[in-house]
Amino acid sequence: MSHDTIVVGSGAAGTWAAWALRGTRTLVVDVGHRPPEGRLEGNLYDLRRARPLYDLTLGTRYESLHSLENPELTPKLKAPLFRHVTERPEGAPGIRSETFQAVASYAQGGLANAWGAQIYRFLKDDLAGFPVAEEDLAPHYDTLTREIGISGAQDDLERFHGPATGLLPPLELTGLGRRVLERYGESFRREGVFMGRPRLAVRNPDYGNLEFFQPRLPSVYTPAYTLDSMVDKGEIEYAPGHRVVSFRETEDGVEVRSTTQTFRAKRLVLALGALNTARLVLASEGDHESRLPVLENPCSFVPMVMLSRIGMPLEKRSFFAQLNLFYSGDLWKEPVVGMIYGVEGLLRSDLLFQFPFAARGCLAAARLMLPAMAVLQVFYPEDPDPSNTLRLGAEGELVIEYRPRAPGVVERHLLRVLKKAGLRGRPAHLRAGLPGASIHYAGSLPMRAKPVRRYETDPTGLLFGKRRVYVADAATFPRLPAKNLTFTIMANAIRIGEAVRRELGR
Amino acid sequence: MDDSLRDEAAAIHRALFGRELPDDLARRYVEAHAHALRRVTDAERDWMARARGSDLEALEVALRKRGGDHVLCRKFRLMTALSEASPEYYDDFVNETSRRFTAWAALAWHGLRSVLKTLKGRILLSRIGA
Repeated sequence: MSHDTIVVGSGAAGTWAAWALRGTRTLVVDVGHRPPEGRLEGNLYDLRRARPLYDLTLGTRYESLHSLENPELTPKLKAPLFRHVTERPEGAPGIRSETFQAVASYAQGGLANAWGAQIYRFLKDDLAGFPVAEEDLAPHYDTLTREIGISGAQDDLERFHGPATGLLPPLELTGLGRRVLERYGESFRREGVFMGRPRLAVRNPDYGNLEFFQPRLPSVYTPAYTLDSMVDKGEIEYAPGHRVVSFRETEDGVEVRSTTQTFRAKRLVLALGALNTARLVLASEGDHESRLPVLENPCSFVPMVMLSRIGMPLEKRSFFAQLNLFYSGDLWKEPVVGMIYGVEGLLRSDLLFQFPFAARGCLAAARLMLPAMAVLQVFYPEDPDPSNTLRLGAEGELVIEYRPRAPGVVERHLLRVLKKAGLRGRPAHLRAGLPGASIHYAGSLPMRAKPVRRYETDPTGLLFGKRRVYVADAATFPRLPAKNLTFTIMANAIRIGEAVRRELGR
Repeated sequence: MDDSLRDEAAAIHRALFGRELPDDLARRYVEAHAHALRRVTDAERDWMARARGSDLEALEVALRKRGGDHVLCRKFRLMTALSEASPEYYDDFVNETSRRFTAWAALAWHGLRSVLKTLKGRILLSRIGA
């Protein structure tokens, strides 16, 4: 047996499960697409003023303009240098759905290459329905806080964010962000709206507005950094270039088959993300009948404007995530999460025609109004729903059925309350993300205290009916609170990696 | 084909920026059109031919406000994205000085102008169809 453990996938879950297994013979296997060589350095606006940026903002074959005729990707995922994140390897089966806009990654570092770097701990109430307690995850959150560097502040959001110990200083706010925070106070809290600084896996306080165009900015954490560091130190082995197609348990271990090679180890940890891990499990079982649950956070967006800042000059050095807010009140059964984003880092042409003007008026509005604008994004929690399922199609593709939900209740309340801070937005401009747009996928192989059926996992991630196959990603989350799940994926993967390590020691 | 796309690019550029289209951007428009607007149908090409010489800015805003995804709106978005990537257009998109008082006057003017353009666009659409 050449390895103790094979970890399939190198995203947030795979990387941190491997991290917990350092010092044992651990092999991380994945396709491992990497970003292209092109590199932008400096400030987006200085670069734009200095030279043509066709290749880097639109692509050598204008590929980011494909969104003119195709369903919209997020601004980040359609940027040319981010294309590797969602690029599907040749021969890999796709995802088919009429209602669910699924995004999967075969990149080294996974979808977290393009994340918003938002950090949330799942606290006691968030973990309702999980067979895992806050105390089980807390030490791993603390470890991650030390290891990756998280900026933030001790403020009103501590009751939602958890302890502020070990945080780096918060990032610089724009004038708009400062103004909103200055006006925040008791009248917001009375309305169930709590506001403060986001916690971000972002270190350097001086930004070039390149986060939508340049992957692997040194200041913004991605699991690929941790993976590279472990490989450089010889703590793990990494085998990119392998698309794993199936696994099976043998007498004394597991056998993992990729398109080109078969690997063997004592234990297997699956960490391909909630969708692709489910696909691999179903494909390995040859099961085209079973329907597994799937979860995602319904989300919405609404533009807002601060009238007093119309005509102000553009601020060129701010990170897009400005403020976080939580709604906790009677309108929803549990907290709903909101973020206020600046739009400085986006291309004007992505937003321009949202203004209700003729074309030249849209251009004028982009110049004069965008420095006064922000976007409120809202995420809702989600519980399993029998209508929301995935299964393996005849060609190995995933087939997802998902019932769209219309958000709006909490957003209207937030817009009313945010008016007190000078931010004006209209419910008529509210845009619900298509199901899948949150890219927060979970729940396909849910974790139970005592699993009783196929495709459930136990609290250590062990797949029901298996002795050596563990699931370390968000497939194990039995439900989704409204908070971004990436930090918890990492903490939970460390927890599961440690459980595997204990098993290896027996 | 290239010549008609260049003419179309020049007209859209004039509608957006009120000035002549530089050669480099015209070339890029033709190139990008081939990559990004592959699904333009014959009917849409015919429509573009019928709209030639009309006030494209008026047609675009009227079509956009109707909703849907008209070929003219896609072509305006294409031209905007291309021009934004060029440093010559930086000041068309970005304001770096404080213009708090003139901003309101400019937006009021564009609001009024947009109402008139929308009305004109609707009249034009009733003549050439959508």
